[in-house]
Amino acid sequence: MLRSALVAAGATALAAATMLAASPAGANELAPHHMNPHFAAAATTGSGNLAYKGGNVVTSPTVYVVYWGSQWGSGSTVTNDPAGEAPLQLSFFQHAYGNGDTWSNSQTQYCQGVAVGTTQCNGAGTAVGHPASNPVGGTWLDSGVTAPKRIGTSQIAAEAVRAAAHFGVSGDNVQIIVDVPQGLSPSGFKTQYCAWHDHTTTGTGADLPYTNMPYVSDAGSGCGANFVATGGTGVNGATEGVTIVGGHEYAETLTDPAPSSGWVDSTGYETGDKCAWIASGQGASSIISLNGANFAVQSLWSNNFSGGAGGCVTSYTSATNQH
Amino acid sequence: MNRVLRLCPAALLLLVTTTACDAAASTPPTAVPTPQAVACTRLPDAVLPHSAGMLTEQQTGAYCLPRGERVDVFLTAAKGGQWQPVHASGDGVLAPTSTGVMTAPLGVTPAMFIGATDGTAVLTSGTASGATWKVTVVVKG
Repeated sequence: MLRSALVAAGATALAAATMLAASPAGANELAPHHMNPHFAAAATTGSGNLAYKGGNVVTSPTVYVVYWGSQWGSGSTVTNDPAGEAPLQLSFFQHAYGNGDTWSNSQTQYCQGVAVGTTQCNGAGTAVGHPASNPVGGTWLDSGVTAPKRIGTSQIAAEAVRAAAHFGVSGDNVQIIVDVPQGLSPSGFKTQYCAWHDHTTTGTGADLPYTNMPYVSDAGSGCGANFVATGGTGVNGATEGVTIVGGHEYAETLTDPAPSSGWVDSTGYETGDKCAWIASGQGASSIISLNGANFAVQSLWSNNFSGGAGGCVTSYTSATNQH
Repeated sequence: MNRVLRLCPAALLLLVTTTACDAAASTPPTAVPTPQAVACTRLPDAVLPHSAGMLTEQQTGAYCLPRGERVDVFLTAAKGGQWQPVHASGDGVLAPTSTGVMTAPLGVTPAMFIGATDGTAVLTSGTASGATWKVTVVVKG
């Protein structure tokens, strides 16, 4: 990094000279800007509360998981899953419902059908849904194809569409999670991202939210391994990222299924981004119980925390009972 | 005049004030390049949907961004460090947009910008340990 910085500094003179040459008279491209020397990596990020952008939220969440490619196994049985990510991920979503899930419940304060710019729904519009029972609509081992070694964004979207056709679903209440097999790294995984969500359209033109979910434990600590002390919770530190990252994308899909038309802050951050990788203090990632099963999760942004100031919370029963 | 024309580029490289050049350039207006004259290279390939390309802390110099398209920035700090949020100068040439589609790895500072208008902008960031990063983005329709 130091070497990179030195190289960058050396190149700065040329870049700056280029800017001087390129700038019209009076332009101020080289004006100094404030750099905070005490930037804290473990603080909330983004700016202010989330605000509604006029699009859909997920009012009735249903999750579908596709294990992409014969690398996961043959027939309909997952056999190549050395870290045990598939059952962990499935269990996480299967337990995210009802009163036993106070983690994702914080997102029910957001809604659709209100004025653009709204930050507090206060019961207006149609709220983000909270599943009354297991929200997993199905899983599918797509062993009829082999996931490519070089995975691009369009291929992931295509697999999501293929899975939606298999399940016979579409629309913004559907989340297709494309699980990439162990050992394959979609372009940018580990170095630029741990996972991402987006939306595409099905063959009939319907919207289809989906998530690119690489084999997260392949990234180690960079994507959540051992981020939270497990104590005697029974949680496996090596695979914490499966639920920390998976939960991040799940919550963001709930509130912004067609990015960025749902709920984002003034800098474009979604609910999970604002609370990612908090190691201590308010909103720190932790082990939580979902209907009696323990999982590592990150906190999610709550606009009505602290009297409307907003903050990151891991538990939400109501606006006045959250932490 | 010939001597002045030879000296101006050198003066720019040394970050000398433009005053001397301005005086000389007043005679031939073409001596002051327009924003379109900035040489730029193609962005490295994108890793996220809907993006024209990406930049990391490894990139320096000037990169081309078609107007209306998005450039993604990923700055990875040394262990335990963090790059500050990326700042864009350039009077609205680049408009910040959502990074919300992804979970960034620990220690990675992401940023995304749309090329809003034709022109040149400078992206900068730094770390608490004093490292700096700077890239020029040339937006052209």
